[in-house]
Amino acid sequence: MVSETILSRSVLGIRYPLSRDPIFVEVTDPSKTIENILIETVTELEKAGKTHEAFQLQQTLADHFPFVKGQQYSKTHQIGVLPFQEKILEGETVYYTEVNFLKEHVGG
Amino acid sequence: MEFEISSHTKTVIKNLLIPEGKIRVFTSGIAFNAEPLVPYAKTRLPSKLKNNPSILSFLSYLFHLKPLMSFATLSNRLVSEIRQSLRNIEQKYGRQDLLANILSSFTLEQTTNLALAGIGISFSPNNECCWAIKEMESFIMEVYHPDEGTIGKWKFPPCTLGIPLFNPTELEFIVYVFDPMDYLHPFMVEAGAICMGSFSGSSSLQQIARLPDLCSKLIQLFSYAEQILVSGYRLEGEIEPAIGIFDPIFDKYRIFIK
Repeated sequence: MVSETILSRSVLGIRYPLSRDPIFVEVTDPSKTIENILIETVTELEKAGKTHEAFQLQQTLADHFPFVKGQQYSKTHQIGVLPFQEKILEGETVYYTEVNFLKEHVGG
Repeated sequence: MEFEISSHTKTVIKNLLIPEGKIRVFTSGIAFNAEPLVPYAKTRLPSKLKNNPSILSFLSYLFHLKPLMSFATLSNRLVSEIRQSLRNIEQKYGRQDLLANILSSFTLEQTTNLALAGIGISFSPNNECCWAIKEMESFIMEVYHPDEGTIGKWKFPPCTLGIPLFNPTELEFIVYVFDPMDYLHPFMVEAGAICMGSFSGSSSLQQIARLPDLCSKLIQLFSYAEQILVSGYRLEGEIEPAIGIFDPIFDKYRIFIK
C-alpha cells in the first residue's frame, strides 16, 4: 500500500558505498519504483555534468540492494511503501527516508 | 555522567554569539553588530536606504550594520573555545584530548552527515575510550524457508550500536551493541560484539576500509551492522548463527508462527 504522507513534500536520501554524502531526491510520484527513481537520478547527475557520480551510482545498481534501517526492499518496490518519517526543516514539514545500497550479508 | 562547562567558556561563547547590549546579525557569511538608528514605521523607507547593504530594517527600526568577522572565523573561534573546554574536561577525567581530537577531525559537512545518519560521538569514562553510537529502533526479523516462504517473525527491542574509537584515524571494524550490554540476538557473542558473518573479510569490508574518511566508514559500517541484524538470518547456509533463532530464549520476541 502506498503511504498517504508521500502526497506532502517528500525527500529520498540515497547512500551508496562510494558516496561521501547522500544524494537527495524530491519524490513527486509515490507510484514510481526505487529502480525508476535511481535511473532518473543517474540521468540527472549526467545532465549536471557529474558523470563520475552517475557512473558510480549506475555500477552500484548492478550488485547492491536497497535497505532502509536494515530492512531489505526490492528495486521494484514503489517509493510509497518506504517508511517516510516526518522532519521539520526550517519550519517546513518534510517527509524523509534514507535508502542505503548495500551488498547482502549473512550474520553468524 | 554530566560534564560541567566552565563559566568562563560560557561567557566567551555567549559574547561571541550575543554580545552585551548589542544585536548580532548573521548574513551573507558575515557576522555584523547591528546598532539601532531610528524607528521608521510611520515613514516610507527611501529606496536609497532600502538598497544599502549596511542598513537593515527590522522590528520597525533601522539598524546600521558594522561587519565584525566572517562566519568561518566566528565558527573557528567557537570550535577553538569548545575544544579547549573539552580538553579541560578530559584532563579532569584522566584521558587526554581524544574526544576533542576526534570531534575536531570532522569538517562541518561531515558533522552534518553524521547527524543526518543518526550517529553521535560519546566518551565513555568506564573504558576511557570514545564511541561512535547509533540508536536502533525496534525491528522485525523475518525468517524464510526456501519452499514454504515466511515461517516466523520475531520483534526485537531497540538498542544502541557502538563502534569504539581509540584515535581519530584508525578504526577497528567491529560493531558492538553498546546498550543494553546483555542484548539478546542470534548474532550476539560475548562482550556484546555482533558476529558480522559473511561481511568479515568480504569485498564490502575492504571497500569500507579504503574509504578516505572516518565519517564515511562509520556510516557504512553501521549500515551493514543494521542490515545483518535485521535481515541477515538464513535457515541454511555455510555460516551458523551464535544462537539459533528457534532457541526458546527468543520465544518472548516471537510474533508470528507458521
